[in-house]
Amino acid sequence: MLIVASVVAVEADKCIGCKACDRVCPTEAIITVNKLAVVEESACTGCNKCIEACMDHGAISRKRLEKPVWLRVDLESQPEEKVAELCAGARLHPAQSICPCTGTRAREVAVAILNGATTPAEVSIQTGVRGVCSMWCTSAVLRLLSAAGHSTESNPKNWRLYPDGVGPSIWSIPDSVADKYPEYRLRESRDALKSGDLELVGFPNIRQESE
Amino acid sequence: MRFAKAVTPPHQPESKMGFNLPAMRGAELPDLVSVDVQDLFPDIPDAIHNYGQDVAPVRKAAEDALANVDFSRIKATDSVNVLCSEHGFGMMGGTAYAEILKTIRDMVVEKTGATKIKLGFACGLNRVEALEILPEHGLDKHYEGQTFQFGPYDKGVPIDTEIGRLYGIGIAFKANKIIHVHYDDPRELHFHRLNGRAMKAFTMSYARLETRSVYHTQFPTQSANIVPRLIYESDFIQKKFAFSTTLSTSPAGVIGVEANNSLIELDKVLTERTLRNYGKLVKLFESLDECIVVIDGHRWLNYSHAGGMTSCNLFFGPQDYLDLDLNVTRKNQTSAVKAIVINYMWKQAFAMSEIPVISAQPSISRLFQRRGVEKQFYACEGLTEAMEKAYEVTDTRKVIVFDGTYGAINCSPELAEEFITKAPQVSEEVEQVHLPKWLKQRGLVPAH
Ligand code: SF4
Ligand code: SF4
Repeated sequence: MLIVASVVAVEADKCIGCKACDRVCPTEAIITVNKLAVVEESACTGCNKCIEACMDHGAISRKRLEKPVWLRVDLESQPEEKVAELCAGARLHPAQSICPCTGTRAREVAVAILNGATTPAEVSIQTGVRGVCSMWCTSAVLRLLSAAGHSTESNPKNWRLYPDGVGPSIWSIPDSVADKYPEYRLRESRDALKSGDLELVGFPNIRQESE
Repeated sequence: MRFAKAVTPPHQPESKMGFNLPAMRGAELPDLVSVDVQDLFPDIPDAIHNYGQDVAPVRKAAEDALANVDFSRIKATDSVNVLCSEHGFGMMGGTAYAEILKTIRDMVVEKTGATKIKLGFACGLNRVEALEILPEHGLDKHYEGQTFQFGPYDKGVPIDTEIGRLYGIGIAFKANKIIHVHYDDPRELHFHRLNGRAMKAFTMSYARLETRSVYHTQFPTQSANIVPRLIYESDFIQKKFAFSTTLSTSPAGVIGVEANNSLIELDKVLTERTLRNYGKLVKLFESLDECIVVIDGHRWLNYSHAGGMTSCNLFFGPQDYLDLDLNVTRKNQTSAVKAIVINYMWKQAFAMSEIPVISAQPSISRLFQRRGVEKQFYACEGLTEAMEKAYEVTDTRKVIVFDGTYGAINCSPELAEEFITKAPQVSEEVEQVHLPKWLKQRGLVPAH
């Protein structure tokens, strides 16, 4: 869940249409049309990535919303079993915190997908996840989308996301690598994950929500 | 017991990234005292430099360390990116880290004749950092204007490894040679477990957000450093890698500089030093069962320092993350932190979940109110009011201030007394039980 209190606005006379903002926006909320960046406010999570991308031109600034917008799903809108099944397909527990910035849990993303989100951008707009740093949640979001049968492609014209970069995981480590690097305890970790003695908690949130 | 007065912490520079500077520092709270880290553990090595002191010993240490490095990997015609991270500047005001960066440039020029040398700054939060920090330390001038900054969503470059494709930041690696400049405070033991920590920058500072996400969420913590290890060992990086250096510290301050052409060898030295120099304070922090944390650093909430320890060493306790046998699970942790008072930090804050968060000023409150993630959040006006609220919502008078101080810990007398009482036993247990185990688990021979 994320409360969006401000979005961004473009000053047309400063914008040179370079597309630097367009290439990084995780929700495709800012796009360049006829050499001018245009913001779709309803898709903006206020993450500031475009402001940074435009630092040399200073054409983008924050714009406070009159009324903050809550990006959150109605958890009751999908049956618990379906949510749990989708999370399990992505090797996540529904209560697992997948985003330290927004506190988003796996079940929120699962509900968004079950409610019709098919892309990372749509998931973000529904839940707020990826709306701040994107450095923890990205792989979990892609795993949940993939578990629901939605593949995500890169777009060579931008670098919003490289979905082919989230393949490596403890589950896919070849035995040859596990044997070559015993100091990382890869076999032991795999076994402990299987037996439930170990869990992938992502961000070890100070106290997890009671389950 | 009688204690020394609270020590004056490093100055907080005005920053576009930060909130309003506080009217009162944590160290100015009435009754606050300080405990010298070497009084707690006399074997903590002496510092050659601390905040505000002469930086010449750091220069000398860097020159000595670099004298043992093979510079022949860099040709006069090569382009060279010296890669640093914002985090290194968060230690003791950043002067020591900056001095290493200056020394590196000077010695690369002197020993190789290379002139196409750039300083690449990995931002922690946003690009404004580099615009403030590099001039503050004269690094823009020292690098003759050849500096650049980058973040996790800049254009990526694919790096193919033995476990699949990962992505670095294109601009960071857009040079024939790279030099990795590290720092060694005990931040994020809960993530890197001190099991290949010197390599972690290849999955964080210099990596795209997808790779950071893989590191943090697709591997358990004791195994995750396989990811940066394989990036480091990839053909892509090995062709470019010249050498690495690290700022070497103890809880007392800077104790030296290490440099090596092999990051794996450097990591071994760093790992052993950290275990020996910080292990006892790590365990002492782990032994606490209640406290109020005051964040009064000038950067990140999680990485503010107190006696060289970072606040995250308390938040993610009380588990022994240095013990590689520890399997982390989703079970509730019983953190000793009963409330967090934020007097000053930058604009970033991870969700603190169920720990009460108390803001000491309106500009900070707005961030938390916008996020709306904390279950208990209190907006106060001023540190005095915030402390009153902290005492009200907790049952403790044990207060620790993370204000950037090395050498001593600013805290309340109640906590100082607990530290002093517990230290001898912690010291003995670390020496007899934990340190030998930690070293052995990492293939490092315990001392006799
Ligand atoms: S980055 Fe700035 S100048 Fe470039 S298109 Fe976007 S708004 Fe315009
Ligand atoms: S979502 Fe982020 S990058 Fe996209 S328009 Fe909004 S602030 Fe800019």
